[in-house]
Amino acid sequence: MNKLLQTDGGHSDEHGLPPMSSIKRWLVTTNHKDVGILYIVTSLFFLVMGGVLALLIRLQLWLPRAPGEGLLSAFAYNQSVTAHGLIMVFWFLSPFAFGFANYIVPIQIGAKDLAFPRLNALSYWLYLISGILLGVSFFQGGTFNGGWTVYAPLNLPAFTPQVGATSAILALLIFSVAITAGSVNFLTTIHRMRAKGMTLMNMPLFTWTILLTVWMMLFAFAALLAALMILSSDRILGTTYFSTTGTQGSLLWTHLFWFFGHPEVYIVFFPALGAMAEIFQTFTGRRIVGRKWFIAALVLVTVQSFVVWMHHMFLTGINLEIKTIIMITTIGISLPFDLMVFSLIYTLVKGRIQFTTPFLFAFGGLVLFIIGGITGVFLGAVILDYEFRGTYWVVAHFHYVMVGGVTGLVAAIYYWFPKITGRMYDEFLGKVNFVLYFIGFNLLYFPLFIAWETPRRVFTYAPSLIPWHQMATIGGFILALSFVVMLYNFFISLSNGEEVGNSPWEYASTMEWALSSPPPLENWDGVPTYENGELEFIPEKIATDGGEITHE
Amino acid sequence: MLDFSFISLLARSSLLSIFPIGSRTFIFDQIFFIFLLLGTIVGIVVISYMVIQAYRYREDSTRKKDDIDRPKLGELPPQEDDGNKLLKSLLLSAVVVIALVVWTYGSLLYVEAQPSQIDDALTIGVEAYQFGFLFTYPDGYQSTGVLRAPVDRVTVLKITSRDVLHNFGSPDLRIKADAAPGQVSETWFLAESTGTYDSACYELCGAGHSYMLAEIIILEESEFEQWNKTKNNGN
Repeated sequence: MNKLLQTDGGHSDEHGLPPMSSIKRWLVTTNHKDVGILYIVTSLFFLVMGGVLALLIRLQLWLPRAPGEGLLSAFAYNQSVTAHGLIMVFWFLSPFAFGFANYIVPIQIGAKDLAFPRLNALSYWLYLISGILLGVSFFQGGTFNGGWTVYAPLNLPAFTPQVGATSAILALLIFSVAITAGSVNFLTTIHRMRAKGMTLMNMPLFTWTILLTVWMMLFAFAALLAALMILSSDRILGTTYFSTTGTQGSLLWTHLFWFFGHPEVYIVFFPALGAMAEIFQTFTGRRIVGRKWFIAALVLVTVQSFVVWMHHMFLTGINLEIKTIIMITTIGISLPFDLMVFSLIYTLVKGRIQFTTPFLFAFGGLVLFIIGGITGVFLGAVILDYEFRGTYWVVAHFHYVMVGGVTGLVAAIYYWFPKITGRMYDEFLGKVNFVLYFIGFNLLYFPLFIAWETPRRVFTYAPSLIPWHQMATIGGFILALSFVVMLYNFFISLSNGEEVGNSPWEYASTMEWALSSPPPLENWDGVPTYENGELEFIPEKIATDGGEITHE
Repeated sequence: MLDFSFISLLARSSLLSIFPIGSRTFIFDQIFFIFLLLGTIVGIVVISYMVIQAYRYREDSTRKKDDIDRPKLGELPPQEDDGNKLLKSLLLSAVVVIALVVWTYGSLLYVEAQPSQIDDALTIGVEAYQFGFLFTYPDGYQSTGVLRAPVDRVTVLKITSRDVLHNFGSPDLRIKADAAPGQVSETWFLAESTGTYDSACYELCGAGHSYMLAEIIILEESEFEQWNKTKNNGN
C-alpha cells in the first residue's frame, strides 16, 4: 500500500445534500451509501415484523391445538405462516443483503456510485412502498393466506377473496419491479464501472456473489413478475389463467413459481456466502484457498440454478424421465457448494485466526450451512423426498440454509459496522449476541428434524412430538433475544463506540478499508486504480488527461 | 423418451436388488437409516475438522510470528492457486453423494413401476376437497373420512382434487401424493399389519387445512371381504 494517497477523512463536501441528521436528507438522497443504510434499516424493521409472526406461529405450536384454541384462529394462523415466509424471503433477506451491496460494492470496485443513482433510489422507494402495502393488507380483511408459494388455484379470489390478499399480490408485484430495476443497475455498475486493473477475476468475492446474484435476479424475477401479472389479471380483471375450471392452472403456476423460486434460494444465500468469504479471509489472515475454483463454482451454481426447479415438484405431475433428469441436476448443484465449503474450511489452515464477532458469525454460519446441506442431500433422493414432502424435514432443512444465510449476513453487519458508522461495536455484547444466537438457532431448528413427521403449516400434531415443539418455541425466543442484543449493541455503539480509522481489521485487503470510516460522499479524491498491481489513488487531472502517472 | 424398462426389470429381480424393495415403509426406513448414518458421520467429521483447525490456528500471543504471506490492504488477489486439495475433497464428496443417490434410484424405479405390475391390487379413488377426502371403491361405493383396505395386499390410489391443490399423505404407511384439480396422480401402499393409521393433507389448502384428516383402517383380508360385501347394505 505504498504510494497510496489517503483520502481525506474530514471531507465535508455534501453536494448540497442536507446533513445526515435531517430527515429530508434521507428522502432526497440518491447516494449509494445512503441508500444502502436505508435498505439495512428498513430490512431490519421487516425482520422484526417477520420475526414477531414467527413467534406467534411458535406459540400456537406450543401444544397441538383444537380449532379455535390458542392465540391464533385457523385463518390468522394461515396468514401468519404466509406473511412470515413472504416477509423473510422477500422483504428482509434480499434487501438486507442489498443494503451491503449498495454500500460496499461501489467502494470495492472503485465506482463513485451506482450507474443509475436515481434508479437506485427508485428501487428502494418501491421496495418500501411494497412493504407498507403488505403491512396494510393485514387490515383489509386479512392478507394472503395460501402460503408463501402462492399455489394456484388457492391464489384465486374464489378461494382467497380478501381485498388484503390482492394487496399482498400487488405488493409482491411492486417488489419484483424494484428488484428488476435494481439488478439492471448493479449489472451495469459491476460490468462497466470497475477501476482500472480490477478485472472480473480480481474482484473481491463479495462483489462476485452480488454480480451473480443480480444475474440470477434478472432472469428469475422476470418469471415471477410474469406470473404475478397474470395472477393480478385473474384477481382484478377477472381473467381465468389459473382458473379452477381449467385443468392445468395449478401446474402452470407451480412451474412459473419454482422457476423463480429455486434460483431465489441462491439469490438470498449468495450475498451471505460472499460476505462469509471476505470475513474468513480477513480474520484468518489467509487468502481463500482455490480462489478461481471458488469463483468457477459460484458461476456454475448460477447457471445450474435454472435447471433444478422441478425438484420442488417430484409429486406434482411430472413423469419418471423428468424426475430422473432433475434428480441428476439437483445432485449436480450440490457439488459446487461442497467445493466452496471445503475452500472456506481449508482457508482456516495456517491462519492467525481472530475470533471476533464477525468471524464467529461467519464460522457459525458455515457450520449451520453444512448441516443444511447434508439434510438437503436427503431431499435430493427422490424416494426420500416423497415422504419428506410437506413435512417439517423441509421446514428444518431450508431454515438451516436460509437462516444459515442470515447468520452470514449478521457477520456482515458486524464486519462492516465500523466502516459504515465510523465506530466500533461492543465486542463483549457481540459475543453474547453470538452465543445466544447459536444456541437459540439450534434449539429452534434442530428439534424440527426430530419432529419431522409434523405436517407443514398445521397446528395439530401428534402429542408425542410436544417436547420437541416446545423446545423449538423456547429456542425461537432465545433467537429473538439475540437480535435484541444485536440492535442494542449497535444502538449504544453509534454514540459510545470507539472511533475507528480506515480499517480496524489487520488483514483486510479490499478497497473499502482504504477509505475513511465512513467514507466521504464521493468516496475518494482522485481516481482509484489497480493498474500497477495494487491500489492507488491518482489525482483526477492526471487520470482524465490520460497522462503518465509519475512515481517518485 | 428414455427407456427405463430394462432398469425397472433389474429393480424387480430379487437377485440383483442391492437396493431395498418391499413395502414403502420398509424401503423408506432402510434408505433413511443409511442416509442418517452417513449424514451424521460426515457432519461430525467435517464440523470437528473445522473446529479443530480453527482452534489450532487461533491468534495467540504465545504463538511465534511466522513468515507466511498475509493479505495486504489494497492488493490484488494473487493468481497462483492451489486447488489440488480442494478438488480431491470435492471428488471424495462427489463419490459419496452420487453413490448414495444412485443406490436409491433402483428403489425409486421399483416404487414407480409397482402399480402397473400388480394384478390383484385394490384400486381406490381419492378425491380431496376443502376440507376432507372422499374415497371411491371399485364398485362405486363412496365414503368420506375413512379408507378401508386389506392387509398384505397392494392398494393403488388414484388421487385428484375437487378444488385447490391438496396432498394426501399417511406417515406410517409412507403414502404421499399431490392432489391437483384436473389431474390424477397415482401411488400405492402395502400395509403389513392391521390397525388404524392416520392420514392428512400435506399442502396448505385453506382455513380448514390443519383438520383435513382421514383414517386408514387396515383389516384382515377376510374381514375386508366381509365388510366389502355388506358395506352397501349398512350405509
